[in-house]
Amino acid sequence: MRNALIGLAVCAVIGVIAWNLASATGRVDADERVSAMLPPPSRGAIWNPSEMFQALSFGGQAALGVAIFGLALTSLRRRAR
Amino acid sequence: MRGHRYLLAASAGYLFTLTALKLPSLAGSSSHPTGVALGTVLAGPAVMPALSLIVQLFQALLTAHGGLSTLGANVVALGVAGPWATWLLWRLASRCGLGDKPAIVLATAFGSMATYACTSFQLALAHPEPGGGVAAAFLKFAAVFAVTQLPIAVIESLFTIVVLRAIINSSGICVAGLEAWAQR
Repeated sequence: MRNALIGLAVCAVIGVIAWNLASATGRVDADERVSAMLPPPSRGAIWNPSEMFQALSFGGQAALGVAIFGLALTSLRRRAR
Repeated sequence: MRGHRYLLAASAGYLFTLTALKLPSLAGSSSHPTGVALGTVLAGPAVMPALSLIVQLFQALLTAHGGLSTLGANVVALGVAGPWATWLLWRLASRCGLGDKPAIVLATAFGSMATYACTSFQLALAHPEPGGGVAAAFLKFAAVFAVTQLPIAVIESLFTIVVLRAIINSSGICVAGLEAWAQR
């Protein structure tokens, strides 16, 4: 269980680093690449946060995911004992 | 019954984590794993729309990824197409005598690709090509997603096995369809 938790936590960190790497190396998100192929929307986006904000908020989401996963796994393990 | 609740929570945590990982891939693109396979195997495909809705609502409201106007289409792709494709291929591969792990690896990668195939089809329906129609538009969108998503789907499928094994080994829970694995 500890290995799975460590693995997920490492993934979360890698994710935040990879996000910044992807942006820094000019890699475009596949969703954005496809969006660019579509005709422009009739209305602009009501919220367009910066890359750094998105990196941090996705990092927060990953951290929340690891926390939920860890708590669930701890409870499962306690029940198994 | 309570154990099932924790399995659901673990699946939600896994989905939350993996959909947040934007990873560099081929052809100058980046994308994220779908993370639906773990929940599909542990809790069944029927619960995945609910988990996917929570994750995508979170992303639409707090990370500006996806969006409220496309929430329904995104839930169908991530919460219905991906999980059911994963589940169907997993059961089919198991019945054909493929071992538990190869079947799940194959099904996870297939489910990840099916999610994006569904997205491509939705986009093609909404924006058909003037000359070639829906089919041509589908191929155009799928080509972009396929190149980016394939390596990520392979990595995701291998990682899912590691996490699934850790959950089964540490909790001792018997998952339907994986009884033989749990007994080893």
